[in-house]
Amino acid sequence: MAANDQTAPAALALDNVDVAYHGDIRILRGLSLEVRPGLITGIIGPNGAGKSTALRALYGLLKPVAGDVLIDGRTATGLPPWKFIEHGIALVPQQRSLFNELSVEDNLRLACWSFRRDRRRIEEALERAYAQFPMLRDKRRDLAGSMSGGQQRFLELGRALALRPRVLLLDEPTAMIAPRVSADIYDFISGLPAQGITVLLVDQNVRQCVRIAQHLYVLELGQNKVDGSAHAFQEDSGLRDLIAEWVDYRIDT
Amino acid sequence: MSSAIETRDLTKRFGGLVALDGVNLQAGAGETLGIIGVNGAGKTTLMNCICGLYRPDSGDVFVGGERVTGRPPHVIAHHGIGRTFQVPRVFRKMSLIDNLLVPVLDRAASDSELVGRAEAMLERMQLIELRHNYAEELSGGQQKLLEMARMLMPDPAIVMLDEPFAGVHPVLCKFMIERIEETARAGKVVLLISHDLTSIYRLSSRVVALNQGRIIAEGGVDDIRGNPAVIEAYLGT
Repeated sequence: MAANDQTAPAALALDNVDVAYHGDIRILRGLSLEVRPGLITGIIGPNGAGKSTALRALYGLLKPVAGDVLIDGRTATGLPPWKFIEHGIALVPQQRSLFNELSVEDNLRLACWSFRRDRRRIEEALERAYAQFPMLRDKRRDLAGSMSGGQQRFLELGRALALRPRVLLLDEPTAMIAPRVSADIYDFISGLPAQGITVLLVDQNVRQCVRIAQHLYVLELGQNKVDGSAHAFQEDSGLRDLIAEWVDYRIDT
Repeated sequence: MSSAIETRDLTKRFGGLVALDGVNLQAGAGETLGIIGVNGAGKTTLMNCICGLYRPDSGDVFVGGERVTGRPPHVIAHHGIGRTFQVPRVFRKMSLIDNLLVPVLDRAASDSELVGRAEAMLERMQLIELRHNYAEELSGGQQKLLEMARMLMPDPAIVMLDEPFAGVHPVLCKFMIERIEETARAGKVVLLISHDLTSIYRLSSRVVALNQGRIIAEGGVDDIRGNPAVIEAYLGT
């Protein structure tokens, strides 16, 4: 089980990575960050800082123009996303990613595509998702699109966890979710390390991200402005100053 | 004098989620109203309620003093409201010219006059060379320009832009900012949603900050910068 071992290599890392869009616009500039095993690592930053881009690079959805992506300290640069899944890394993207016209259970079954002939493993995966979120079992025959936004988000989490990932990447998991349900989602994420699941959380809900993360990166203009213990950010005034800077937006672009 | 656009106590719920919670705003000719807020604050829902894509649960929308609440989108459009979407909704399998002609098909003007206007509009958006290409051949940023051009064709008095700069190349962003400034100078009301505060601060005569469906701050750019309620909203819950 992944423990919080400072000497172990990062479960997933970017090493001096540049990512460019349209060929010439560098969104990430020499970005290095580590997803440490057994912890929740948080990434916050103003809009356009490169948070989602970093996440996409960490999952093989974008290929860096320079630098490396590392899985357990070994180069994984240029691997396609499905290879990341084989390495036990799962992503829950910010945008809804369900098949609305399929049932809850069929959405979960689709996640099992890579072992689709292994009936026992599929049943295990479904059980795992239902055990995490009993509500999904009750609604297993309902169309995914008929559920509320919060329930859909739980289905996406259940689908990612059905594959028993070691590392879960989350992109703004509570965007567009009612506040009451958001609290449940953050509680759930907080408990993942105890299940042996390492988490990388990209979030614009700064307060919650800082509350549940142990390690924190603050991105600005594709670079690390802060790389440190989230604990150091707990006192509110430091955070407030940081956000005041974002809202004032006099950062040189 | 009544405002060009006004909402009164506009409220919209999705199940347990209150997306808009009693929003009152108004804007007059020549004004650019910036609308900011974190994801889920209610910005796009506000535009959807104004243009008739959503029917508000309560409250009203007035265009030029006339109540249009609950009318279908095409009727509201005829009151002089145009809008664009965060992900542009162009007619992909139609040429650029044809895209521009769709919203003015019912006008009395002759075909040659309408085509002339469409060509002038494409000229202004620097898309004229591509006028016979399919819209799907354009880059994402160019599709946003085309959508803006199409929206401007019926000469609406009120223009609503939803994240016009998202995912757009910086050079094209600059061009788009100039077109928006031009639109406001022409006396139109501009409602602008953007996450990019730099462009909001540059373009807006007034800014409204939304959080969890409510207006939490309103005023000039300097009232918003450093506003404690806005900072609090960006901190999260």
